[in-house]
Amino acid sequence: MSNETTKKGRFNAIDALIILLTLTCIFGVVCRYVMIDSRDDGLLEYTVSFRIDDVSSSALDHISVGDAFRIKTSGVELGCIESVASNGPAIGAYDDNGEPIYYPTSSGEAERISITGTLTVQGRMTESGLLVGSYMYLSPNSTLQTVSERIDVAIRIMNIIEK
Amino acid sequence: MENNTNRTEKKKGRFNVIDVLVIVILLLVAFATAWILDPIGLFPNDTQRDTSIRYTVEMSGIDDELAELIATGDGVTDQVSGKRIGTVALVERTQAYVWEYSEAEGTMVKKSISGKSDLIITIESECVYEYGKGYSVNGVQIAYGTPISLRSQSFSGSGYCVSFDEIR
Repeated sequence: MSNETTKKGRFNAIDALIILLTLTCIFGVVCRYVMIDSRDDGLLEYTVSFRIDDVSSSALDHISVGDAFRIKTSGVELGCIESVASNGPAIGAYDDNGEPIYYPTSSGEAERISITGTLTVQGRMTESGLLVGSYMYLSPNSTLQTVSERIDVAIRIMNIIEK
Repeated sequence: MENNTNRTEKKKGRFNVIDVLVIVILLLVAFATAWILDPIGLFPNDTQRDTSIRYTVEMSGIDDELAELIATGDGVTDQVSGKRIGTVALVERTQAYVWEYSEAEGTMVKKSISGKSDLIITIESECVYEYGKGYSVNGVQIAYGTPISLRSQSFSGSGYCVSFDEIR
């Protein structure tokens, strides 16, 4: 009788295993957040200049200062628009001498334009370029498909300067 | 003796307080993880709201006889996800063109393409607006420049979103 009572309160192997698994889960969640916090420590701000080539002039209406952009495929947050402006008519072709031929302008505005701007990006400069998020590297001349709330557009990185 | 063994075996299969406690903790951990990560949007949040949107998709160089096959009132589906992305509210057709370099004029000129049309298809749909992410219709993001491949019962084609407005 007293033996049964003792057995009642005893852990068995399954209990121990479940408790171990539970603790591992909690440890995993805590580790994830500690790692994210430590990863974000020591990030610096960079001004990343970009260029968007050969888009309709109405594209400019959908990019404003303060808009947050992220990488389309991964969702990695890139940064916010610091400045943006039309760079005039886009290049449509090159003539036989290699000179650029621009899209025509009617009533002061070209139908196809290029856009230049800057983004404020938090990251860490590495030998492979500016590391943004966990695995996205930016270097001048890299082209990224990006999205904001209002536009889905490919941008080409032109320059990266620490603030 | 036999009775005692039976009782012990019965008790072996029973839940005890520790089992219940562990299950409660596991459920709490699962709930907390789902709450924090929320990978499939289980929990509503104040950063998103339901609304309606009117957006236009521009398609270039569609054969004239095919361009006639899409009409107002057609339901359209996203070809990639297979999900419904709205109802056609308006279809506008114009002569298709391409930009070409004209050596004679020394500039880029628009050249019409015979037998082809450009389509501007206006679509209306219920959607979700999420702060920082914008509008999405059944998981398909709608923004200026988004490539959209759509299909109706009698037409399919690909183009880009060239405008969008919230209508409610």
